[in-house]
Amino acid sequence: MTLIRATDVVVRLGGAAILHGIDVELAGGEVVGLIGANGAGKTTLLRALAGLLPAAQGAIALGGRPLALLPRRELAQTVAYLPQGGASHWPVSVETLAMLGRLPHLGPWRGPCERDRRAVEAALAACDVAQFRKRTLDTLSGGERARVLIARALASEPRVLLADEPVAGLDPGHQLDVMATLRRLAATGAGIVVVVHDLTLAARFCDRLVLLDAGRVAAAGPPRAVLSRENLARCYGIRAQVAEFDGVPWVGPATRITALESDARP
Amino acid sequence: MRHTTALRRSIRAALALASSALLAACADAAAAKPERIVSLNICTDQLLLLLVEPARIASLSFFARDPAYSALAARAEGLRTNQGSIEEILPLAPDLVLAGTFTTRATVFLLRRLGYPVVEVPPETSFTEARANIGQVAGAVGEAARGVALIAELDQGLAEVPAAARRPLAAFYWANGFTSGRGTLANAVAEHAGLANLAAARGVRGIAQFPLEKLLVAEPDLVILGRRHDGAALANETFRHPALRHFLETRTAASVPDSLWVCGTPLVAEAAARLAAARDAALGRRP
Amino acid sequence: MTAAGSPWLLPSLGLGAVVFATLSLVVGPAAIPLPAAIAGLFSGGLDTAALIVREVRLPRTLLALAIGATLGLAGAALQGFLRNPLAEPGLIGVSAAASLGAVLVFYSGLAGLFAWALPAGGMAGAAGAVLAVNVIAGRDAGAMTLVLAGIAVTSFAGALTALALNLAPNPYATLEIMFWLMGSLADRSLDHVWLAGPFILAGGILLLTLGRALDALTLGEDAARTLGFDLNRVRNRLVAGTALGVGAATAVAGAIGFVGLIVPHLLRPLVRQRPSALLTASALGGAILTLAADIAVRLLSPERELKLGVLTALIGAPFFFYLVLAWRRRLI
Repeated sequence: MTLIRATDVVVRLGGAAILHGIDVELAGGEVVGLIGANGAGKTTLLRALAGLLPAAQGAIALGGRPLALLPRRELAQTVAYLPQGGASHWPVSVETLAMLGRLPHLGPWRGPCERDRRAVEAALAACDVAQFRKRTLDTLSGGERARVLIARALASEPRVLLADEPVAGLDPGHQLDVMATLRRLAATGAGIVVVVHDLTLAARFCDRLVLLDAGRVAAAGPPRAVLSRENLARCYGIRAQVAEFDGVPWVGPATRITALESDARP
Repeated sequence: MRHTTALRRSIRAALALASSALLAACADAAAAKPERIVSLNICTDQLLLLLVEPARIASLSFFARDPAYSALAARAEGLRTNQGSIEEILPLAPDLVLAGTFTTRATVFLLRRLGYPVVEVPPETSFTEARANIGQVAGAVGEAARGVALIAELDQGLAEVPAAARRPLAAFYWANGFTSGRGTLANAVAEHAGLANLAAARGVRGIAQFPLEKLLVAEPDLVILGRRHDGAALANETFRHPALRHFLETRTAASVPDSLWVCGTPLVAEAAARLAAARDAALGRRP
Repeated sequence: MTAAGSPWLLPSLGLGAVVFATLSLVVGPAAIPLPAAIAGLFSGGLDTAALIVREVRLPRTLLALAIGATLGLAGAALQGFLRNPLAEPGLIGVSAAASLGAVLVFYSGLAGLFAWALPAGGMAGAAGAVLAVNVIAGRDAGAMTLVLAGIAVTSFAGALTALALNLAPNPYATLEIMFWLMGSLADRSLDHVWLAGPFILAGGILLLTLGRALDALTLGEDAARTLGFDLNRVRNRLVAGTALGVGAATAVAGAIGFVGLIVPHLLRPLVRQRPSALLTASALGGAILTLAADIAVRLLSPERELKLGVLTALIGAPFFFYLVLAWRRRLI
């Protein structure tokens, strides 16, 4: 079932149009990878889907209803957003941080109840950070920190998770941990959009890829289809080998296409 | 017995008057009198207005025309006033400048440097000093005889202040909670009017702030309040404090215009007389 | 929420406030023993001891409680919202601007127009300052920008206050400017309590409702928005709460600084860094600090020469210095 449908969305920032007529869909149970060169508009699209940026034109619908008209609280309960480079400003404990994810569900006057505590416990366990519950973020490693922030997002039991580069700066092992966590979440029926730069990682863990180029959708579909040499050359300006291992596309070492070459290409 | 004391006093005064007038007249005849006198200070203003005719006054301080501070404001009508700056004074080409010892220091310094005759008169804090100042200014303006007469007027007025059987406790409460303790003219006037000054009793010297609590706990019979400023001022809040208002419901409050006793002129006796009247009211209230 | 810090913190702070409030009723130039003070408080009589305790010391105590609470609360709220350890009403210019507003209303005679004109002036000034700092410092401003914005607002407000007092036909201007710039609780009456009290209460309630939003802001503005918080409304509540509380407080007691800086910092470790828990704790802590400072003023200079703001500055400025040293790397 379609969770999010964005139709012909145009988003402007500071007068300039960043996204030109984007069509994107997210269904429950799938992980969609959002890829593209720097400045292609990935973060902007993610923020628009999260309701942080208004669509100047076009429509974004969540569960069939227009995003802009949804009550703030309901939107917060349904969609969880993980900003890029997420950090915690005050060094609170992991437990407290994860509990912040329950804020959209808390009643105005009551504190967390049993239901909230169980959700937080489940989230901590799912991200394998329960053993750090009393520690503060600044005492954890990069990978552990990333998992804690995801646990915060999971704690709100969202139907949609929008993650902006959650694995940036993590070592390969931790990258795999995080992506595996996202897959597990998708298995419960949630829809996930994740911005990722490592193309092989994206190919391995995402059901579909959406390739953005200068604010437009250059390609969308299964990784095998999107990660073609032509698309890579056009959108990233690289010449790369694309192979397959165990049925998963693998993008090999790339070389930069210089300006002369790109002019010479037919 | 009161009559004989008063009579004796009057005879002594008359004798003193006669002899000093004779001496003074000789002195006056000898020196040339200043014709363009400038005053930079409220108290020298008052003395000047009392001692010489307006034609000889080149300029007075701007306080002279403010009835709140100057009892002789009417007499100062039409006379030029100054703010104490050297630029105002030099064009007047004064042949005598009267100044206080605390204000307009730079101007006084410059005038002295430029060779103008400057007489500095310290603020009076007692009747003795008041008399000395009158004499000093009178001598400087060449009206020594008149000065002697003024002193006699002051003494006469003070002598006429009636005494009382008891000395009630009085507190001065000026704007912003200031009071006058030992070593102030107000204190001298209070003592002469037969009052015990609370601030002096508590060891306050000069003009200083006095906590409201201390005033209330001493339970003075009479509170002499300062003048309310016309416009808006935090100072006025002092007099509106509910604790003070409640306290004054069972005590006597009085007010004496600043203009009477801010300087040591014969009008000080009038201030003493008013305080004595307030004293009698306070005594009448609580036998 | 779990891990909220020691459950004893708030009761201890509350007890501390009660202890210092009682001390405040007993300390003063007139020696009145505690039993007489308590009796005088409730007797309603007009004897001197009762008069002093009820009309001189009680207003002072109530104002110190209310103003201290508001300053602590505003400091915690501003630090939480701006995510900046140097935010507090004094440093970012709110107190100075509130002083200006009150001075303009008072010396122009407008204060007589209607009962609450004076606190209204203070509140207008305070609101202007918070908005100005928001505009200058913008979103996600670093500490440097914030302090500079605060310096700009404080300097401007201070200059205009001096100008206003210079132009006012008031012979006591030079003395009174000390009150507005340095703050004092001397000779305040119950009139002042009624004048400022309702606004301080309203402001306090507004600020206390910000707890959850401030917790969410731990994760940054975008995450907080997606957690369901309308940051514009949060900011408006912050401005309104600070303006009401600090504005009214300054209108009756002058500018008192540094309380909102010191208290949240000292208490933050005790509430395990959580902004929402810090709000209530800072309100109580601010009340205690201000009461203590006011009692100290009465003990150190019973003849009322020392202004309350001087004492808080004497404690606060070295603390500010220490903060800059400790947070040097984070601040730039």
